[in-house]
Amino acid sequence: MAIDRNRALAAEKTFRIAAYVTGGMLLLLTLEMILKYAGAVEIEAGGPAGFLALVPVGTVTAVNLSTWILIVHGWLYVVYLFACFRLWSAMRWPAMWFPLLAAGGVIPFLSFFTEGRVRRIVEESTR
Amino acid sequence: MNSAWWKMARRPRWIAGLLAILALAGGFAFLAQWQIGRAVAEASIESVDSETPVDLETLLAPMTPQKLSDGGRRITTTGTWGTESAIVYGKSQGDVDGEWLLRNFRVGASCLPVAVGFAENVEPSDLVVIDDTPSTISGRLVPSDDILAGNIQSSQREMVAAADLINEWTCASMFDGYVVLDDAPAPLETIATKPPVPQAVLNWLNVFYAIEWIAFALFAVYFWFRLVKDAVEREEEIAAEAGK
Repeated sequence: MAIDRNRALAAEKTFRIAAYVTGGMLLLLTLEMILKYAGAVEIEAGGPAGFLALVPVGTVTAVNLSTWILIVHGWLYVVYLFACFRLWSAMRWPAMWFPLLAAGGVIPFLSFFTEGRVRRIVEESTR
Repeated sequence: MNSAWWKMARRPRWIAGLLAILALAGGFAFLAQWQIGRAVAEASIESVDSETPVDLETLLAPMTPQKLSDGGRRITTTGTWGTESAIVYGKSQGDVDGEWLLRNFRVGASCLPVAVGFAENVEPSDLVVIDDTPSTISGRLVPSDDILAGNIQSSQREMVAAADLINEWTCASMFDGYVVLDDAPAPLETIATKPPVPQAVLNWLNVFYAIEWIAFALFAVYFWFRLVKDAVEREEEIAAEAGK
């Protein structure tokens, strides 16, 4: 089936950036989860303990960086999904490929692998 | 959404697809609702034990602003009744309109306005200083009223504000706010007070997650719409190929 080459390449570029940003944010989130649930500490920025400090859960008085990581990741994931959709629709992939792309933003490290695969597939189909 | 789209959407395959997508969107909506519930349940309620009396001076120093979270707390304090007093008009209790008697209570060198009691008409004799020996009073700490509250054109005072009283009473310094006395001396009635309502702060993380789940639910429906459109285009392309 016909693929709009320019549209697909542009969508792939957006997807690549979104995949790296979301993937990086997801690693930060994983770190935050480990700190919170295994170490019982949260990341505090600009509090009395210094510019960046680990304080016991629930004692953050200044900026709670842990919570902000969660909020920012949540919205970056929305952007990532949008980028996935744009690429998926430009490439006219089967419906079930979309959930696979979407999983990249929630399974740590997965987006880095899918991004590589996706780039190869897109390059081959638009050559 | 032209007629070809509608025709495609009505096929059993795509109706089944729609049902599946709606089930998914429903799941997302359920998750959104769960997050909203968490946002409220996990709201950090800034509860203060307002009903155990504490010494006034642990909460408030003279000439400093009263903290919002301290409004409505029960306090005790020791001092002597001053000679200054005032009547506050435009008050009511139950269905009865009436007045408050306000008196100056001296804590050290500072004035503390005390709403002593309520009556339909406060008599001048109620204003008389009863005794000037040190005494301990208990009551509820209340923030100053808005200085412009009530009818400002009338000469009758309708609010209790430290900023207003300090002009009339002889005070080296003054506490912000006033105290409503727990037990009014006869013939005055005790002024009814209520414990403060705890302040709840929403958990914004959960609020944002709820909004995201709603966005995902809407997106799922759009995804189905898009799949149907793709299917239409595919058939049109196949038909065009065949017709060549």
